[in-house]
Amino acid sequence: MDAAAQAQIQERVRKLVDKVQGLPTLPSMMNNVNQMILNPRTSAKEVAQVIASDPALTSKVLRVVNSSFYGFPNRITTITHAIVILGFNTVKSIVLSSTIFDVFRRSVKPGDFDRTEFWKHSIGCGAAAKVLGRRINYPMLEELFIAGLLHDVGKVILDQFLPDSYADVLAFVRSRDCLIVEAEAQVLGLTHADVGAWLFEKWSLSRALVETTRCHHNPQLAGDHQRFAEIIHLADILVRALRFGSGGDAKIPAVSESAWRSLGISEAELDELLLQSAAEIDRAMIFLDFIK
Amino acid sequence: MKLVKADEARPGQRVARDVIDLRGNLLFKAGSELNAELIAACRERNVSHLFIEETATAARASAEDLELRREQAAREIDRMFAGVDRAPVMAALREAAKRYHLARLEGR
Repeated sequence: MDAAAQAQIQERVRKLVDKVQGLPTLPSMMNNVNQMILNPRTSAKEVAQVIASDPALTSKVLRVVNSSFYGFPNRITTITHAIVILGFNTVKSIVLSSTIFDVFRRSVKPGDFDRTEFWKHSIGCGAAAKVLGRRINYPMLEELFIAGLLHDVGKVILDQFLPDSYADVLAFVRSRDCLIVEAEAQVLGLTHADVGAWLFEKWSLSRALVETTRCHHNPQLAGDHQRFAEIIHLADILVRALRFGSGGDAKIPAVSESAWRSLGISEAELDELLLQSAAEIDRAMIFLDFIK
Repeated sequence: MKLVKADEARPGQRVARDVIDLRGNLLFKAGSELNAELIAACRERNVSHLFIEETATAARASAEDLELRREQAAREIDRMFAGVDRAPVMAALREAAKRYHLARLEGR
C-alpha cells in the first residue's frame, strides 16, 4: 500500500474515531506495569504490588498461571512467585489480555456480533500462533499468543462504538457470503485491522503488536515485523479451518503465497498443525474466564 | 458410552459420567437426561465434551446421524473454502480440515 492510500485510511479512522464517544483508555494500572517493566531496576515484588492492588485481576492471573496452559507442576500462589517463575513479560501479557477483555467484554446492545464466539476465535488464533511459532523456532511464543488474541480487537471497537454501521457490515456479510474484512472495506471504507492498530498505537503498545494487527491480512506490508505478522496471518486461517469460534463470517481468507513460502511449512504438515492447534486451544480456553 | 462435543449433544441423551466444570464443580450427575438448560449450562461453564450413554437403538440412530453430520461438515467446509481453494495450499488445507472434522465426529 502506498503512503497516500495509507494516509487516506488514517484519515478515515480519525473521522470515525471522532464520532466515537467514550473510547476506552488503557487502565492506568496497565500503564504503570508497562513503565515499571521498562525500568531494569524494577523488582518482581514492586510489579506484583501494583497488580495485587486489583484483587479480581490477581485472582484471574493466578488461575491462568496455574492452568495447563503453562503446565507448572507446583501451585503458584502469589504474583511475585508468578513473575519469578514465568518472567515479567509473560505476566505482563496475561495482565494486558485480561485488561483488554475487561474493557471490551460488555456489549452495548445484544447484536449479531457474538462476543463469546469472537473471543473463542481470538484465543484459537493465539494458540495456533504459538504452535506455528514452535514449528519454525520463533523465539517469542508468548508475544505470538497475545498478538493472536488481540489481532481482531478492531471488530469489537466497531461493534461497540458504531453498532448501527457494524450491523450493516454484518448484513453485507450475510447477503454476499463474503469475508468480514471485505464487507468492512465496502461498507465503512476501512477495516478492523486499521482500527485495532490505531487503538494499540494510541495505547503505546509495542510496534510489533501494532503492525501485526494492521497487517494480519497482508503480512508482507508489516515491515520489520513481517515474520510476526505472517505467523498471525496463517494462525487466523488455521483456526478458521478448525471452525473454532467465529470472527463474524463463515469464509476463510486465502493464505498469502509469500507468507507461506517465507514460513517454509509444507502442505504435508497441515494435518499435524491442525491437531496441535486444537490441543493448544483446549489448554488456552482458561483465557475465556477473562470475559466472565 | 461415547465422547461428544458439548455443542453437538442433544436433548434426550443421557450423560454417562458426572459433568464437572473447569473449576471442579459438579454440574450434574451421571445418568442425567440432557435438556436445553443443561446443554446451555455446559456452554456457559466451558465444558467442551460430554460422555454420553449409548443404547443399541441409539447406536443405530447415531450411525445414521453420524453419516448426516459427516456430509454436513464436508459441505460446510467446501462452502467456507469456495473461491480460495484454487491455490494448492488452500486445497490441501481444505482436505486436512475435512479429515480433522470427520475424525472428530467419529470420536477419533
